[in-house]
Amino acid sequence: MIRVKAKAFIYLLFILILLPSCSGEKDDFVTIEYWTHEDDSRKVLEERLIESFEKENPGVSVIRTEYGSAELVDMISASFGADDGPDLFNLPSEEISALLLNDKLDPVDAASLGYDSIESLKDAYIQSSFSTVTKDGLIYGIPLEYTIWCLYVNRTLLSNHGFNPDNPPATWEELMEIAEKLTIRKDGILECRGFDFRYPYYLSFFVPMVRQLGGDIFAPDGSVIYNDDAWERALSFMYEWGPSGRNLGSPTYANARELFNSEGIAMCLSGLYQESRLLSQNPEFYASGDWMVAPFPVFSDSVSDEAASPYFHYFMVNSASDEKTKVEAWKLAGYFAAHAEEYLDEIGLIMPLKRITDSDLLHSKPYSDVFINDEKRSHEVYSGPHASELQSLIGEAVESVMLYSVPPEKAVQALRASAEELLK
Amino acid sequence: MGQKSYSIERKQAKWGLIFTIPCLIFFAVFSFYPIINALITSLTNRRAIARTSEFVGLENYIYIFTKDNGGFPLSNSIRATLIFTIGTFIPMIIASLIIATFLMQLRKDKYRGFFQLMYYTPAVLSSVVAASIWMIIFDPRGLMNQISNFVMHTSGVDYNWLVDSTMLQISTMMIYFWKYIGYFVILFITGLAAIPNTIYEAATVDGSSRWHTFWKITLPLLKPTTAMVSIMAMLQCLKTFSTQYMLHQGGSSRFPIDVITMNIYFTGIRNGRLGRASAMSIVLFLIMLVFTYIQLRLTRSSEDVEY
Repeated sequence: MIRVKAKAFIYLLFILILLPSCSGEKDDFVTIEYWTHEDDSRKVLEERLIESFEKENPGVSVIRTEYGSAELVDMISASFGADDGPDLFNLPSEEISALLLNDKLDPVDAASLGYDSIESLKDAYIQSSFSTVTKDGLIYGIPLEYTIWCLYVNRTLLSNHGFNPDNPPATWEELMEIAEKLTIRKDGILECRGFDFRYPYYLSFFVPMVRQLGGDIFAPDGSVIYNDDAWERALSFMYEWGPSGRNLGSPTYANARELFNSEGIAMCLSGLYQESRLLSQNPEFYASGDWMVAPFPVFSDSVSDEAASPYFHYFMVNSASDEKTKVEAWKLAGYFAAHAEEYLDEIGLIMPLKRITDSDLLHSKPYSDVFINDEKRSHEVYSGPHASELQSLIGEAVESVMLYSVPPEKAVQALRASAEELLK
Repeated sequence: MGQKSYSIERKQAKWGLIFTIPCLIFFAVFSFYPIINALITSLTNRRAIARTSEFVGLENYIYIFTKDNGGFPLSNSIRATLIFTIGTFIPMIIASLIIATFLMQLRKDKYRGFFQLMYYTPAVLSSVVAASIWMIIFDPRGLMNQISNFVMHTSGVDYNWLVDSTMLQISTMMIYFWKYIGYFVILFITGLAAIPNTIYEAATVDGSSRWHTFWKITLPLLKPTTAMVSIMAMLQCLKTFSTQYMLHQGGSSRFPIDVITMNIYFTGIRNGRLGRASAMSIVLFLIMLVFTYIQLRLTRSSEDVEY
């Protein structure tokens, strides 16, 4: 009796295991796994686009999965390490080199994207759109967004403290002075800040500050951490800024970009997309016109007029996905790009297509000229080998100075030693 | 007769084996295989994304013990892990024993149940939620600064809970302590409940005070539980990851709280150096093995306890 039951149990198990593979799904049905970073506004738009894409392509279904920005980078790294990455995904410029150098990306399929050739694809986008994702003459991604940060200013908070809102801070020194006066402390404890940086994206805002002082990540001879004096000065500024100095801000405090929308901070760094978020989160403040966007500040004795470093997010396709899925994944990326106007209009994301950058829609966005002008005085974010690790090391140097008072010269020495070790 | 009992024993042993097999398979697949795999990987220069791998002998071990590892040396991680473990598991064992004893003194079961639930609730919260709650508490305007200023008779002092390297380490200990103490309280309560009441009744008849009873009866009879709880707590502390990771994600500096598991994560996942990360995991495994052995030796006599 027991034997019969055991046999029946084994048969049942066998049937259950086999059942999904006999579910009658057609062989030509394609499921695209699409991983992206969290963005509530983009989620609404992309879910709508995916729905219409699926209707237009009945044999295709899309599973869209969101992760936090840092988590997405880790998930991509872990999944590709296990040869099990998503079919379509996006990453920022500084996180791409390892995938590109190790042939994990599929070369762009111009036809699936709706172009006659790679040349016509390149021609549709602004120059430099593909430099990060180009290897051996082939292109491995198309831009989802192109972002540069400028200084968002709450004009009311500035004028309330006796500053002329029409003259927002143009130098870091002015910004520190204004931020100091706008900072509110209750019994000595920080209640409200005037401005704070966008930690931990040090390649985007801190490296340009170093460049303003004549330094850079790489020297012309290829050595790493160029011009100690510039790095030390930039780090000294961050020390002054941090809790061990004047305590005007810290990586551990609440995100300035989000506080700005609720009028909880006077200034922050952000991209054009901040305007759409401001509109959706605080429409009254948006409509009041009591805010503005100013150029990225420079040091008063800058040797180079340098804005924040713009970065791309790229749509990329997994080279290990099967051919049919790759084609459909590129089609989906192309479908998103075909709706670039909606990305700009609804969520403020600029796909660097010439038809977008030249459009009235972009120029009609408040302060878009500030972003366009800043882009002209900027260098794209470093996206070469080990960009992500270099960003972590620079972050550790900045945070060691800001949070536990390591002297800037020691922090620079440690940074160089670690960077040299990394790049060996 | 003898043959029959032998056959019953065999039958029972057979069923015992059948019921144990899933556990053995589970252990083999999810514990034994990863350990062996990590050991083999630690002898290679395997990279995550490239998926390339070459045998390099002990190179990874030499590297992690002699080099900087991109600014985050293993020596710092061992320091951070040991400080965290010592600072967390000893107070946690003492506090959970005291709380469990207190709860056992409560006469009404409903009160005991209520307090057990209260203490255990943080253990079921996800680390993300726990870290978010504590980041609000540790905020300059948060509860912790208010309490600290009240206790220290200061005014408006920011104790930099998430900023200063020492305070940051204390913060991780506090979060962990809060999150897991309930779990160990439950284990101690189970141990205390297993001590027969008759022993306490005999002690009361003999005129023993509560204090005396605790030291001379409860504590010695609780030795097996204490040994088990302390080993579990220590191992759990040595493996700590999510608390430190969440605080680092929240903006705190990595270096002071870069415990071994976090270094393994960043080396293996972020930097893609699986060989090095595996060597670190083997080092962590050996540390855990040595500490467990020492603790087992110290609590060896606990096996003698009989009720």
